[in-house]
Amino acid sequence: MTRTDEELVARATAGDVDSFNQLVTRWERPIYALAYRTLGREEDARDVVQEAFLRAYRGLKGFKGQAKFSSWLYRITLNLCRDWIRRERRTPIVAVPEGTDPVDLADQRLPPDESVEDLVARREMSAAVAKAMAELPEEQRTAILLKEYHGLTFQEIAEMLDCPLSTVKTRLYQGLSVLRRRLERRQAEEASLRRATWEGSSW
Amino acid sequence: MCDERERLIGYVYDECETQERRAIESHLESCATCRTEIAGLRGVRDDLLAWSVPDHAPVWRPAPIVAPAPWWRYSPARALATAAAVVLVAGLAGGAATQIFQPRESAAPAGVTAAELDAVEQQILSLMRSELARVQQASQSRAPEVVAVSSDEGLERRVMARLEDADRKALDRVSQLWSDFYRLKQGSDREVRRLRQELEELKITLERQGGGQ
Repeated sequence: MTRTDEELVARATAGDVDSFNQLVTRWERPIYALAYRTLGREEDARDVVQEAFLRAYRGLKGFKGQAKFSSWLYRITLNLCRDWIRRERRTPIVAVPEGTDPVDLADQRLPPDESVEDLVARREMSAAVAKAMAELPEEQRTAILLKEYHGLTFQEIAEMLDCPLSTVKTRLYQGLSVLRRRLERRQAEEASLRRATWEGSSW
Repeated sequence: MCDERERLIGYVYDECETQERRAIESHLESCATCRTEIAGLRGVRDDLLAWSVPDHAPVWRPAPIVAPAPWWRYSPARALATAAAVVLVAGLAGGAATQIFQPRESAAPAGVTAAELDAVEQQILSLMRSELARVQQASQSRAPEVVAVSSDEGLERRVMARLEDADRKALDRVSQLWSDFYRLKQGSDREVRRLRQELEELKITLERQGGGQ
């Protein structure tokens, strides 16, 4: 039988470690994804996830269920990421996709219906999105992360970030608009490069 | 509508009231600029789907957790009680307790000498010892009778009952300090390991180049 988060929290608070472990299993991946996309580096994300669950474990008794358990975890994670960035005095790092060389990629197991070229394009796009996101102001980036990759509602984001609902919408709109311009510019540059390459090769 | 483009966000994410939705749809019929805007926002949302997260091994390891950080950071109530019980019953608040907290091999971050780092570490450890001793004293003065070691759990419950909030908070603050300190050390360890590895690789490369000549 699958227990709800609330049930597991209640049992974990009463001392059932296994229930807490189930919560971790359930939420580790989304929390890791949030930390990774915020910090841009795997080892930093791992450290933050570890610390986030430790804090959650320590704070379980203080968690009164005023928010969803996942929202509470997200908030802890975002606070840790913010501390991390301030401490390191740096902006998020852009994760460089590994092995975009088609020869390397040819050795990899590809999903059905995906060619090496598609995989290269997908990875390049992933890196381009990561780079564009890393350049956004923190508030806009966080709002987009929570909305796009974690499916939170405007209201949930507003509560998590302690800001009015209208501010959430503004951050999303501004952030998406900047991303759109940057990604469109990249696509235009790529098209131009392809054209130049084609013209060069036709000589 | 064109002056309040943020309103389109609710429409794009399908999170607006029916009335608002109808108003936007009606506006879109006559406004090509906003239609383009909506298409652009949807397009960038599609692009965002490309951002993948690398696979990773599970980060959290259920107990027992190997820890140079203080034990009560990982399992606060149980570990705190156990530690305090050790102090109460066995009187190990001094040097022996220090052994528990010995960190792993570590290297100094740039700009800080190893000796300075060790000094800070010793200060924190010393503070931990004195806090444990203080908690021991405070607990004994509140309940002077000897605790009978009938079972671990029973003992923990009784010791926890004796610890007052102030004691727990004090121990918690020391633990936080230790955790921050250790994390800094860990970060520098990682950097030093990376530099060492690069150095080794460089040595090998140079040796090969030298041998090839």
